[in-house]
Amino acid sequence: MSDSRRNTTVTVLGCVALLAIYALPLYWLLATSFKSLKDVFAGSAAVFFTPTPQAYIDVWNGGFATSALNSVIIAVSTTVIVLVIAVPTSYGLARLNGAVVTGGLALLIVLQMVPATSTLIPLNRLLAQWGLTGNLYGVAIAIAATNLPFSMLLLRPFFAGVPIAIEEAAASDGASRWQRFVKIVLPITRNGIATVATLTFIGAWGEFLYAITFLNDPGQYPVSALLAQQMSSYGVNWPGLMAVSVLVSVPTVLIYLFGQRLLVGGITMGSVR
Amino acid sequence: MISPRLGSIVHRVAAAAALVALSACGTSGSGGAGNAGQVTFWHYYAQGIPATAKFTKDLGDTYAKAALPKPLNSVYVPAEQLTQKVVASAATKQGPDVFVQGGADLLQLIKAGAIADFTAQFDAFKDKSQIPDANVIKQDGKVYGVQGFNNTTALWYNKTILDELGIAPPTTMDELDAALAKIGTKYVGIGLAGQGDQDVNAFSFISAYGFDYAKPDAAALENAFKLVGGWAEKGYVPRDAATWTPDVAFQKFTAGGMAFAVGGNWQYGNAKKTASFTYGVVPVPDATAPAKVYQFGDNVHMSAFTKDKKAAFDAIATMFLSKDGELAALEAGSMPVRKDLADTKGMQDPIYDQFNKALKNGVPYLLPGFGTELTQMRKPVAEAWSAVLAGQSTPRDAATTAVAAVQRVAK
Repeated sequence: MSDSRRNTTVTVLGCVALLAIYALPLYWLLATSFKSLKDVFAGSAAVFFTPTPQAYIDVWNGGFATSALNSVIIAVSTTVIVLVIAVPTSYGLARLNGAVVTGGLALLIVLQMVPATSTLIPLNRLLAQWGLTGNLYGVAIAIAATNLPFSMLLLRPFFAGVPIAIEEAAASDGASRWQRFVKIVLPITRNGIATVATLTFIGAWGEFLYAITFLNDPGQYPVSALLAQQMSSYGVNWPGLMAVSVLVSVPTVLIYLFGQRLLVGGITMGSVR
Repeated sequence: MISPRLGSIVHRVAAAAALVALSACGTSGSGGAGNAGQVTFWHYYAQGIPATAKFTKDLGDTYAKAALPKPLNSVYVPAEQLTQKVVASAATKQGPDVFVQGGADLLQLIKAGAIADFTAQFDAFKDKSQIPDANVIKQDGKVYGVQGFNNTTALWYNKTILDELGIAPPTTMDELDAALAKIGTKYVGIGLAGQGDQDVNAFSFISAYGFDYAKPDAAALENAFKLVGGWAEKGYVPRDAATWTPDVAFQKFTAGGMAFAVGGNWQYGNAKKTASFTYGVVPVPDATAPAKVYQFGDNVHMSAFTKDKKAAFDAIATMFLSKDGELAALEAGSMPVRKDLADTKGMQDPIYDQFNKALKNGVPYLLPGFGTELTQMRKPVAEAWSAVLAGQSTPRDAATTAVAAVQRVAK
């Protein structure tokens, strides 16, 4: 066997092994969602079983559409809030220097390490004062608040990477600061903005703790609460749990599929700056 | 001029914002915490599980049948988040009218000022004499909650397997050990749960060897760990039991092919529905001391911020202390506490009889004499139990480490 042929065989075998490692849990997840509860624990039905869509039907009838809409509202609102605040702030942090900025950045690093559980009571108090408990936007504000430090830290290097000379050239052509920011800096940093938007959306889409704490009506609960509904001390509805997991992962997969180029570019750019 | 690409992004963001704005009418909930026009009831009965969904419906029906003036607003909150949510709400002087919790967080709730003393309402309750003292949750002589049903754990066995191998249900740990040796690896010997930071599954075994949180003794713990560690080593307990929760262990038991499992009476409904073999129950066997069991049963509390104490207590009494409410619990697998239901037809079942026997060695989940530190004391014991099941620690090391941690917390 020639060297190149041997190398190809090794590569193919390696790829198959890697695919198996990644694909097996996904297969298990998908297969379980189409099993009956009895088949889940029957060793004989590990691979061969009679598929049933019952879990999906039950999940749909259990209010999946409402929960999904709630999740969309929370995730989109959070993303909008984070971008509206993080983008100009990060730009400012990238363009300014001095002790205050350094201190501010150190504070952001500390803030992003605060555990979510320790913020529950103060946030609940604040949202109650604003009349935003039991409100999806209240949840979005809370999630955005905890996401902002990380988002700003991620975005700042993108803005810092835009040469100041480009802005100076635009300024000499008469562009105002706002015009320079919108027409020059934002297009150049779109990978970073897309990365932050994607990560924020995905984080908010699956958020659980704040939603459960700040919402009081099951009709408002997002999809993450629907996952919790499949488990109790009486047992776990494994097919239901897996069916919700499959449905919940669809938007995330779509985002990765369509935003892969921007996202990969954004993450790698951010990592080397 | 804005670039076409950026313009497109702006349009997309604007469209998303419009979508969110259009949905704005549905962003505020109708449930609210403590809405004066209704009785808000927070519970953790998951609606994706048929048994709990039915129990919730039965509770709602019982409430509706009583024709009380205010409608019931039943709100699901995941069990792990319920106490946290109640405490967070209490910080803003809000909360539901009534809620249930597992019992471990009673002192935390009292400390946070989240639960009401409803001694006056309970004393005036016409059926007060039907409720045993053990099911009335008191602190400093004040009534802070009630339990409408009893739950505990025992040793379930697969009678089909035991009959096939000529094994009698064990009454001592030595007999259980011998039974598992006889079963060998032909079947899964015993289902134990190793996941979690509480000692729910471990408690009966460690107490059977004399372990006591008040006087933590490493030798007692080591003896219990030697037994279960030996089972894991010989393959009578699968190593992955270290990752099982009690409900997963029980679901595996009901799927067949497992001889024993430690499980609760609340699992009886599931066993009836899913097990295709004959099964039975005995109390967890004794060893050098009686095997103790935790006396569970959802604690029902009234929020300190309810605007209508009478309506809240009426809801508690109707759903959890009335005959109809307790019979609904019985149907779900829990044992009623009312004295006049002790001889009800459903309780004549030999399975419940065994759980009642187990309850003779029952202790409240919040062990008398302990405070909030108990949760921290249980954690290292549970971790040690898990490590022994997984084969990650020797019984001696696990016991020594756990007892040292328990003693540190006690100090």
